[in-house]
Amino acid sequence: MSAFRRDLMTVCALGAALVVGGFVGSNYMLGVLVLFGMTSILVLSYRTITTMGGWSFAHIAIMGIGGYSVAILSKPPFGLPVLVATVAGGLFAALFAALLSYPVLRTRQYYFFLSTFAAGEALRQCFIQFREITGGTSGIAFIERPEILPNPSSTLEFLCLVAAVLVLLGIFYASLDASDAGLKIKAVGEDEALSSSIGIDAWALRALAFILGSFGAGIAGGLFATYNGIVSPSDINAMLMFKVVAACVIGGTTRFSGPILGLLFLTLIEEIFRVVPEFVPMIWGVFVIIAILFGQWARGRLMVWRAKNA
Amino acid sequence: MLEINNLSKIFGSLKAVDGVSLKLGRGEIRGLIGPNGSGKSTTMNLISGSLQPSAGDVSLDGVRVEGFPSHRIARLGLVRTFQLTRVYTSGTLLEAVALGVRAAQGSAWNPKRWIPTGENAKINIAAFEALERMGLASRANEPAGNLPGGLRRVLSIATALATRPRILLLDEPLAGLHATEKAEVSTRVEQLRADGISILLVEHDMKSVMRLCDRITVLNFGRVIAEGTPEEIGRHPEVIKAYLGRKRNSDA
Amino acid sequence: MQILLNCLSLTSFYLCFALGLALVFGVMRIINFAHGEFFMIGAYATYLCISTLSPQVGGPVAWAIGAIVAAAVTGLLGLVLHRTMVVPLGDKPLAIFISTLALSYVIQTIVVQIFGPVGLSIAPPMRGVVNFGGAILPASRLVVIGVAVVLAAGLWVFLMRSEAGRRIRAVAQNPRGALLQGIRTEKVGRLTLILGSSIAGICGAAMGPISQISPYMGAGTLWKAFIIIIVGGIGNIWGAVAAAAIFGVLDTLMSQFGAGRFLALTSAAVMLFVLSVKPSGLFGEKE
Repeated sequence: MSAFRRDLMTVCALGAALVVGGFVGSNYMLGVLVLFGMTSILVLSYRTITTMGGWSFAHIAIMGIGGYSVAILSKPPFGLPVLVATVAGGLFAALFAALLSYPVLRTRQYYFFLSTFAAGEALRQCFIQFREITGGTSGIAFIERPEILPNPSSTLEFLCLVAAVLVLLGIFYASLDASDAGLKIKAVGEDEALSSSIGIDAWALRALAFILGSFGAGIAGGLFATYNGIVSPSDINAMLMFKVVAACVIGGTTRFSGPILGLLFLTLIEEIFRVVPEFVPMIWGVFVIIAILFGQWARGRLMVWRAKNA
Repeated sequence: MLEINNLSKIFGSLKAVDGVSLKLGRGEIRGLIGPNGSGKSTTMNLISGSLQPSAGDVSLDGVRVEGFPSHRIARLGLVRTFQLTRVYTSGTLLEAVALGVRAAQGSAWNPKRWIPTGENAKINIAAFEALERMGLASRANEPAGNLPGGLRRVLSIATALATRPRILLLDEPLAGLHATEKAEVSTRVEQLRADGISILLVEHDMKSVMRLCDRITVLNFGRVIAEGTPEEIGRHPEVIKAYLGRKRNSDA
Repeated sequence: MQILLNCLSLTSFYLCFALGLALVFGVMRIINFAHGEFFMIGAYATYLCISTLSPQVGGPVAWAIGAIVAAAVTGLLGLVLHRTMVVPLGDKPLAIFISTLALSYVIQTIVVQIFGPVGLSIAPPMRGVVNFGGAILPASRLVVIGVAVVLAAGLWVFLMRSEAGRRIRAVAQNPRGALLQGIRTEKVGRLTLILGSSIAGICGAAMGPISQISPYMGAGTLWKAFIIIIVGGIGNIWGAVAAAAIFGVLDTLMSQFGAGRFLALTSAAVMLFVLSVKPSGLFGEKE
């Protein structure tokens, strides 16, 4: 089975599992599933960015653009339908990424994650400081759920919407991954100098991955905002960014199943230690360190094994 | 085809390349030789756009290209390989070379390129042809990461070939190969010339250089000290001095 | 005059904080995300020393002991970090970055468990204000300035004059070349990381008394240090010093003229502008 089909299957299975889980699970379970679905969108869009070889630390801040766009556009004087505002939020996030990509994508590895980290933090500060538009630290409350749902207050219906968006975006990212542009993006991620030397416009493809990945973050931000009914700077927390990165580190980013399984693992830890939530970041951290060190150790062993058998 | 004039590159106070000029005709193999540190690789980097020249110009078919980013120069038909071999190692040989085929076409911003297309068969055929031209067809479906170092160089040439270049810059393509492989790769390079590709060749193996090249340019301390046919170069006093002088230094 | 003093005070703080990070980054090309947590641990160590010892020996002495303890503890942490992460992950800057990020959460959680999430305040070891021709400066801020000057000057003398410093510079300039000259880069790396971490601890000791200490104080300051390193330039410690001065002056002036709320925005704008014009930073060399 081709990698493309496998990714499509992963996404569809995840969407179906969310809906089925929502129908059979308890109310509490429903909430967990909605969060899982929305975070899955974040993680999958983040994976797209990582394929170009850069780990951005601005993903959650860019997600915030989607959230604030929905909050602002769905209220007067704009009064757009929530779903339209969500799509607009995705576009705004992509636009911001496009503007950011000129300075930020000129940098490599450590500089890339430092500069995205700083840019994301500055964006969060903007949400706090431009109170006239964003409501400062308290944010913007009373965001409606999408009108398209027959019963907006039903979490189950919202879960179905999240699953649908997840599947749609998942298909988009899976096809991007298998497309001509996607193959070139991965080529740039693997060896930028070689890619440029044979005629691939490395900068454009890195920008493309960053912009399209940020679009998904904006959409996820819109969903978070309308689900919570409020956006505030505290949504853009380092914990969520860490969760997304950790999911990709623990699961690996080669195929779609990796980050999803990583996220599943992190969510399980979160639920197991529900009574002592203050320990969750530490346990996540320990597992990330173990995953990285173990991966390094395993690669070393594999090389020794190969050398012996060569 | 390729014409460079008075090309110079200054790093701080060091003139790495100092007023190098040369012309490369269609279907010509031009050797670029010189002692270590004489500016061969820097010249290659300047021509291919990896480095920006401090002065001088590079034209491809009359179009000035100095200062262009390397991907644009590649799209105009000039592709280089690297001294420290660079190949895609995450997939099979065929997949690695297929990227060369894809690289030559399409823009990132065209949404049609964001969905998988049915043209894979066509691309794989072109990639397979490029592998065949370099004699790697039998290993097309092996993982590129398992290839020994010498053959990786050959694979990097195949990847460059897949872009259908008119001019190839080969940086030490024979390094790390043993005698029979050297002979085979040399024959294949000669075949590329017969197909009308012009080649600028940096190589340390003098026997192969003398055999392959139509003309040779010799650099020392960033300057052209001699240019001519292999026979002329072989008995050029300055060239002998440059190499012998270097030899004596390294013996001391 | 007052503005000048404020500039100096803020610059000193930025400098203190960014110096250790820039040293480690410049020499080893790795970013220690837990640097902010080391800073925080330094502050807590000082807090413990002052609260237990100051009745016996008095504030200033207790503070000095606290600073030494802080440096020792964070230096030890640097050593552990080098052993467990930097050596095994040597050639993978991203893996090191993410594992130190994970480590920062581990440390944060532990400190929250021990001291609680609420901020504490350290009784300043030096009370009173100093008068400089009409401008006033709290004595504890003077301590920060003093510490920054001593650290920067000490580091300069160490790097320029001592044998170990010469090795560190050689590795920073060209790791492979240093290896060829028989310098044991791993040892140099260990020394650098211990040094950089200790600087973070001392900085925590200096800063603790003038601001509230909390488990999150490191993470909140870290991004500014990142911006300083980026603007200063890749692998250039003295670039970081210059950038600290630039932001110290800029930020003080902005707060002075009532534009303090746009600090983060301007800092980021300056960073993005510098990256657009010169991706390797103001004083960085192109790699």
